[in-house]
Amino acid sequence: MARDRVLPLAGYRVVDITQVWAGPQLCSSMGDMGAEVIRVESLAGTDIGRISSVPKSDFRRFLESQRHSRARAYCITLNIAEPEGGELFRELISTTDVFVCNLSPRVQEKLGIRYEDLRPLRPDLIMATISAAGHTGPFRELMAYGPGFNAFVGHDSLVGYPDTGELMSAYWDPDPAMGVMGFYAVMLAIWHREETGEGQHVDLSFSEFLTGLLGEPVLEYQMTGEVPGPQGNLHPSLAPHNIYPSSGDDSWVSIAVGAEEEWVALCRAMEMPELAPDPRFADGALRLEHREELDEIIGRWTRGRTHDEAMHLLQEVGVAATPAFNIGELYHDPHDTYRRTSAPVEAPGLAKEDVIYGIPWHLSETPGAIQRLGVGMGRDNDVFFSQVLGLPEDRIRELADRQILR
Amino acid sequence: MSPRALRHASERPPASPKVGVLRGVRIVELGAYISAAYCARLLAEQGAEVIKVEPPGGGDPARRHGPFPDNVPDVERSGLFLFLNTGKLGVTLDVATPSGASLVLELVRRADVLVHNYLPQDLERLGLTFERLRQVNPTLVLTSVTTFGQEGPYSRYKTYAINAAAAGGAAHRIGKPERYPITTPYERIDYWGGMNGAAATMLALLVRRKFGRGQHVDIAAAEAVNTFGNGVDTVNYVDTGSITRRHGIRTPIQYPYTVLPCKDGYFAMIIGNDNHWQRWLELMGNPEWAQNPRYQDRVAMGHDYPEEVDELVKPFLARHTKKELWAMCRERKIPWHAVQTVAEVLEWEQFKARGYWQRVADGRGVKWTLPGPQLRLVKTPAGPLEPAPTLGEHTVHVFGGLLGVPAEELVSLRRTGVI
Repeated sequence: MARDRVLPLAGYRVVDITQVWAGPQLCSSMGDMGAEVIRVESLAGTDIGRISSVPKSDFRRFLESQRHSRARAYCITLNIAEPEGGELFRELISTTDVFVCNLSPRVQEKLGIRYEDLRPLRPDLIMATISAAGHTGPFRELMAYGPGFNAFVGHDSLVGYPDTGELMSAYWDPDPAMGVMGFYAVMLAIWHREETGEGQHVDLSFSEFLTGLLGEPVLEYQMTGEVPGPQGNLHPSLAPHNIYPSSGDDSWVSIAVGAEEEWVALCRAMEMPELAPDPRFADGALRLEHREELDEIIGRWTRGRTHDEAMHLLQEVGVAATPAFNIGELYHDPHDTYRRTSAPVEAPGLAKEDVIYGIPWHLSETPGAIQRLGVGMGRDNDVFFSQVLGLPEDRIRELADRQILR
Repeated sequence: MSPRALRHASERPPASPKVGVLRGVRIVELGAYISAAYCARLLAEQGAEVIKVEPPGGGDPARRHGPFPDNVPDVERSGLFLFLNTGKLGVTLDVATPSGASLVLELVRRADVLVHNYLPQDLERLGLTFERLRQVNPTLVLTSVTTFGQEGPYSRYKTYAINAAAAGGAAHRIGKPERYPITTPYERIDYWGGMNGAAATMLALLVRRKFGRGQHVDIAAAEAVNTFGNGVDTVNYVDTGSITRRHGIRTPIQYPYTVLPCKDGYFAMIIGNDNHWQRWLELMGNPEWAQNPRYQDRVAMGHDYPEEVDELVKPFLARHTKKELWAMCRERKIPWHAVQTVAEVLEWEQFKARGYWQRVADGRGVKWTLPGPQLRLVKTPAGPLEPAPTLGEHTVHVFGGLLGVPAEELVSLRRTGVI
């Protein structure tokens, strides 16, 4: 098995009709690992990601080039709400290993593409659905976008400034995290299919996934009787534990101390060795008690240097410190450049100066590779319908004329 | 190759028989706190047997993290430890001693996966480099989950979750523009590391099944967050040079993408399309101002004068509770939600209907309500969550039973503090 040549998911066909972010990202990751991903879209049910109403930002371009079509073997358009479109879609599903869908149960039923509808066509089909609350239960039709669900499951009640109690929300991580977790779930289903030959429905619920990241505050409420509120940078047992101002515009460095030797090293690095045994700060409990004074002292020190200087200086002596990087800094940061976190990439269909996020999973033997990216909706219709579905040219033209392939 | 074929056939854990897709897969977990433990928990809840190795004496520092019932510290009752380690076997072992290190290698010989969150210099010091481990077990999947990964200029740097949130570009975007950045709450970036670790580990297990080869899976949590989470902003930066900054309670791509106070808390009006906005205006009774084209251009509203629109919306919000607002929005198919506390989430009917919560006992036998498995594979559901191990609970079972260490040697290992 030669490195770089083996694509772990080669041979699996994936059909992706998902919208927005979580589902498309899940499918991109499968494509990066070699699956043949067929993205099916329709102008009849447009994706707010593709047909974004936010021309001022580059959201639309990002989604087009990187999530929705990255690593897709084919990007096709097909109106599956039309009977003939639905027929062609079912034909495709009968050759598919993994079908990923984030339409609501009601819409799936209307289109005849629920797991129980499709299973007779492909008994070992794996169908992953992504929904707000799962496909059973009284709230199975609940609508949500990922970030809104961070609010609903309690996460947003924990993000804010503890001194004023103001909540700071608008954080984006549910969708990409769901993409990662959905990938894990599909791998589990593939594992089971490899062992037994059985397919199944993977019923992914945003709310169950996100709440499962909050076990600690859920237990805190039960165990202490207190409802956790906005945390800021407070930690229940560590001090210092904060993000401090460094020199430069809106520039910050994070510092946390978890052990006695780290505290002593921090004091020495700040050239204030007398601080270590200071009765206000001499042990962890005291430092927690006096954390505001402590933050004041550390902040005075960090203001005098750049965040990079502070990080290197403190890491040199074994103290956990990192800059609070902004997007631009991350793009140029030597560590991220080394790991090719995001960088201009040469790939078919990609302009050389285009930037793309890399594959963050570094697998020593099968690292995967960005197979292809950046094509518009329906770009591969001709090739796909003639070569994959084997339709004659005049039939394809006729279907296109009748708006079935749109 | 089946994972079962890769190991000795004689041993079985004492806990109830595992169900789930990964039954028959054995994982060894080394490390501290969250990232490796969460990665292994994700594998354990789908049926893998996880042997968690803790240092003798105090055990995993997560045991001292809390929360504790009534705030009374007790290494057998830490909420964080309970949550992260349900259903695992627990052994104590001083891996820094020569006999401890050789016992780890014996475990690795019989394992499918080793998950850890050590820095590279720690692995070197302990003699647990990938080269050494694969000599012992050529088909091992070694999964490393740290902030910066095992390679790269910062790979040896020490971090806590707050440092990972800062280094991954998350913190700089959370908070008010004029105040300090805020980390992701409750060590969330460590969970990011763990979930990426589980996803990539499954991929490596599939590769091993197909090709009979193990490999090293190197996960950097900060990189995963930046890669998957910051892509829009990175592209925007490369195109225009502009840096996405923190904007308090909103994301300024369109209106609304904001969290605003209502009668009894907060309401999250986060994303939507023009139809959702129209339906919202109807819900507000189509106020006169809504006719002004200025309040129809959601992109301009989001970018240029969001506070002005907030002021128009706030009086309506202030008249209604978050529950009322949520119900009214659901009725009109507007995908906006109440900002709930974790206490309120515990009461949600949907979770009850789907049997999401599970009751699990802490190390003193008192039961608490925990989130159940986060993934639902309908045909192969995960089994009920089992308790987390008490400190050293399975030491004799694992070393005596699985490894076959004679009883007198176990006594001497215990006397010398190795186990």
